Amino acid sequence: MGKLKKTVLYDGVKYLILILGSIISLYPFIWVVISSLKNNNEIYGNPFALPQTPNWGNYVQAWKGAYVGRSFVNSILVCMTTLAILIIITAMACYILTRVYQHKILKGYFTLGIMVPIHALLIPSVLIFKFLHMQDNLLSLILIYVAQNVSFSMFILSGYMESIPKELDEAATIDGCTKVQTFFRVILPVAKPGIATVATLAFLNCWNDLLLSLVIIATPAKRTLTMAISALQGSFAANYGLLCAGFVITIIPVVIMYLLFQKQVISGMTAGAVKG
Amino acid sequence: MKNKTLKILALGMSIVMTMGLTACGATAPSTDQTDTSTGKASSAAKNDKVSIVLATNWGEGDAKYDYFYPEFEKFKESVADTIDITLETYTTEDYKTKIKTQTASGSLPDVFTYWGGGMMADMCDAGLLLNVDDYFKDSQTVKREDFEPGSFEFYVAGDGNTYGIPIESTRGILMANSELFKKYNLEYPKTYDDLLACAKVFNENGIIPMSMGSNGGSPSEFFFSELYNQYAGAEEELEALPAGGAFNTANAVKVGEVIQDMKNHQIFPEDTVTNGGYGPCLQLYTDQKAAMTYTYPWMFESIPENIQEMSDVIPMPQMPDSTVDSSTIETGFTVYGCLINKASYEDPAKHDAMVKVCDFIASDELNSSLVKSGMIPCKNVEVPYKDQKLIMQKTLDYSEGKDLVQVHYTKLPSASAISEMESGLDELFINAITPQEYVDKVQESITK
Amino acid sequence: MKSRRTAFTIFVFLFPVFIIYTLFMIIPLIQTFVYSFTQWNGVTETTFTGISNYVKLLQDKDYWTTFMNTLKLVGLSAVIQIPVGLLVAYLLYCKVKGMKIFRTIFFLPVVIAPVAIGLMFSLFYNSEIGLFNKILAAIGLGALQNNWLSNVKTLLYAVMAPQIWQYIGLYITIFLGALQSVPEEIIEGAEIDGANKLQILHRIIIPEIRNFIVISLILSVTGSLKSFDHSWIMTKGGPGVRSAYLGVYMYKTSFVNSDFGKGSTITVTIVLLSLLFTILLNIINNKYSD
Repeated sequence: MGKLKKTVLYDGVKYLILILGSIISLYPFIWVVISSLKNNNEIYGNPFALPQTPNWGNYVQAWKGAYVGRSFVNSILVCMTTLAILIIITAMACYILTRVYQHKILKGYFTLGIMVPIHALLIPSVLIFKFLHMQDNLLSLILIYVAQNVSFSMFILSGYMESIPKELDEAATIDGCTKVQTFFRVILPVAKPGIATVATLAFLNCWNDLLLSLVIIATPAKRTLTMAISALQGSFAANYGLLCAGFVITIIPVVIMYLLFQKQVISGMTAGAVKG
Repeated sequence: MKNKTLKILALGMSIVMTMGLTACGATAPSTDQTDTSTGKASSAAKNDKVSIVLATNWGEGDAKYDYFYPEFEKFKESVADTIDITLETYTTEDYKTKIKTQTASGSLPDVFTYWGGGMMADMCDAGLLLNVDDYFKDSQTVKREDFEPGSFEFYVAGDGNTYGIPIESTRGILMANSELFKKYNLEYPKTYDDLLACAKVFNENGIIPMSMGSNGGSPSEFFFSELYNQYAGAEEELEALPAGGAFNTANAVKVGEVIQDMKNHQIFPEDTVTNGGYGPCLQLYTDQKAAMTYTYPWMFESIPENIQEMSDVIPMPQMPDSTVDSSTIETGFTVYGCLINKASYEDPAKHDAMVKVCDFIASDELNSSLVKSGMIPCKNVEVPYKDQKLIMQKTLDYSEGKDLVQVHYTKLPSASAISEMESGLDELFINAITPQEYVDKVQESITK
Repeated sequence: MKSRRTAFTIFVFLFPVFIIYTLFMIIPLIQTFVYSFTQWNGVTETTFTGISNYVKLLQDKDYWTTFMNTLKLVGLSAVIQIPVGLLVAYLLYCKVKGMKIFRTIFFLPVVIAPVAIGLMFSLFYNSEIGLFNKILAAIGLGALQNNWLSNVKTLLYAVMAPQIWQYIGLYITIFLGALQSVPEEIIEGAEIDGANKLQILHRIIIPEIRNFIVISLILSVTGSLKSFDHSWIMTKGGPGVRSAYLGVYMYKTSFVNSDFGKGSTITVTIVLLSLLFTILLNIINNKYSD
């Protein structure tokens, strides 16, 4: 009897905390969606209320005004290419450094970048791209995003690969696989969850980046989505409804991606713990 | 095996390092400005088109965008056979960053709008900018005489040459909501005591007496200068600033004290940080939550018509111990203009195209169009009075016969002094530092 | 024969990442390091000034303010994000209905651009129209109403809060994954032995997932050291530098005040600080695992 009461109480507290946490996590997001349908006066006047008449015009204006269609494609293009390159090259390097040729200095070298703030690299990277005649080029953006994400990707991925049992490699070697084959046929598929984690975090980094794209990209046609949205912010105007509509447009694809891949993400987060 | 691997690795990596170091060495800021950042140089050469990069902060979201962009499209179309123009637009803060990075990497745009005074000082010193008299000499359609003579002052550098074509002039105005004043039976405040009395009534009724905040120094920096000019000797002190005059004057401390006193009497919104910045600051006024605000014409686009109707432009109340009659003066200065990349201009291949683009920026058509957004042009262009916004008409009426006075922003010698003034004002407005500490801080950055 | 082939594989596999990483990460970093010994306004020629930037920086009051702000953020993030993340993950782990929905909701803020979060919160904090004060009033805590960003005492914490809040979901997800990897038999065994939930968490789960806690700590610490967006969007690091972190101060110095030499010096100190933290975490971790 007493125990049952205690369990009920415990459950009550548990759900209370979880629901409260959900509200705290979700409310700002809901607020943005509601505000995206309001004009400034309504937002200032009563920030809680639903819009009297939904102002869909904000979405039309945000979409048109900031080349959203085009910059959306640019962002997708840049982020996806970045992910593809990043994952294949870091996975290859991690495979070597964890299973074939362990080299502490190289490993240290690759993880050094995890603590470098990106603004530190703004000017030097602009100079390098000028030297390579690659200014205002989406490829430059891809390269620098890859470089930016190498460190933490290797950090997570090598942690994950270390947990993959060595017997797998040995079995593959006995079956006559070369190192290359072992990597592509055995290790890469097994490392999928770890890769999913890296992909998620790297995607978020690229998708939300503003500073690097700002200094590297110059022409409006090559803008990424965050640049386009930040352009909405306006020099001296504060049209929050329009801004919120822009936020919603940028947020939705990330949310969709997250919902689609969350299984992989979660299992990726789990995977590192498998004792190697 | 290990040895061999290491050798190969070492070899590969040393190649990379060498490549990298070469890159490193070659990336020092070069004076070669001809290489525009479009990366289209080769295609341009093929079809004999000249590539020109035009940069401005009149991008989407800016009040001027809707007036600038159609004109730009028209111009682009008209020269499409010979010039390949790339337009780069950013919002203000991003734009400053962009121009600074491009300067540092030696890929400055060919023609770009920018601020003068301390903001352009470094570029002038490095010889990146064209003396615009060279341009006026070459231009068929634009002459220096077409502009208000005083408007060039902002772009005159220490060497006496002019390095920018002035575009936008401006007037600081104190707007008052006549209906709110009527509702509470109040007269517009003429003295500081009047202001305090009004403030008391407004505060009792939940109205903010004057919407004024400070976020990154806006709009407070111009407000500070407006008050400053009411004090004896202020004008001369401001004139002396560019050549190393002092910022830490007794007047500056006095104005700082007045501002803190106003803040303590709840004349401003309680939270001056989030209500700072031009947009939020004006918003409280247009929402009729504030009875007065101090603002500038570039915000006029955001004032709804009914608010324009009920607004009056009034003189700033006379501050304590001030001697200059506030109803005779008004801040009025060149705030914005266009700079020309010297290297591109002097490049024979680009020269003619550069002149054309500058002609466009300085054209009557573009300037008249921009006027409609709420801009006072530096160029003498005729725009019918009735075509302008109501609030602009009121501003122009008010400005009639006023002595125009300057602001610190256009007079401070360096960008770092300006930014110190801006961030220091934010602190002053939240009572985080004393007026004396504030002026000393700014002075220190000038001396440095 | 075989070894040569292996060596070749090693080379080919390491080369791409090495070259991209070196060219676009390490070389810029070296350049930054070089600039830290120079005076450069971004326009005129650079002049070599030795360690004078470092000397000046150590005497710079604003630098130390931002340094302390950064340390506060590092500390608060670690102290709040990790335990809260772990606790919520544990609650979710304990067979909750709708676990997946909660998990999805908690992660949501992580995916929203910091620029958006910063702008949102500056509206929330606004004294005239802000949500925050209205919510406080509605739940009977009206006495706590405050001008969050205009009060010297609350300013810094008000700027930190959205950043700390935003990323808790990341740690919840990491820890939830970690918890699910702990073999159930261990926990069941403990339950049979009569251990309560807290004891299980403390004695069994935390040691089991220690690696994840270290990874999370590293993510949290390095994230804090690099932070920029929230502060820049909400207050531009101001008033003064009161809500600026080292990253913001560095950006302000370089791109607002055009002092790239000093800006680079600040960057070098950020990198050193991160290095120190990482080493520290590793030492602690190694000590525990022994």
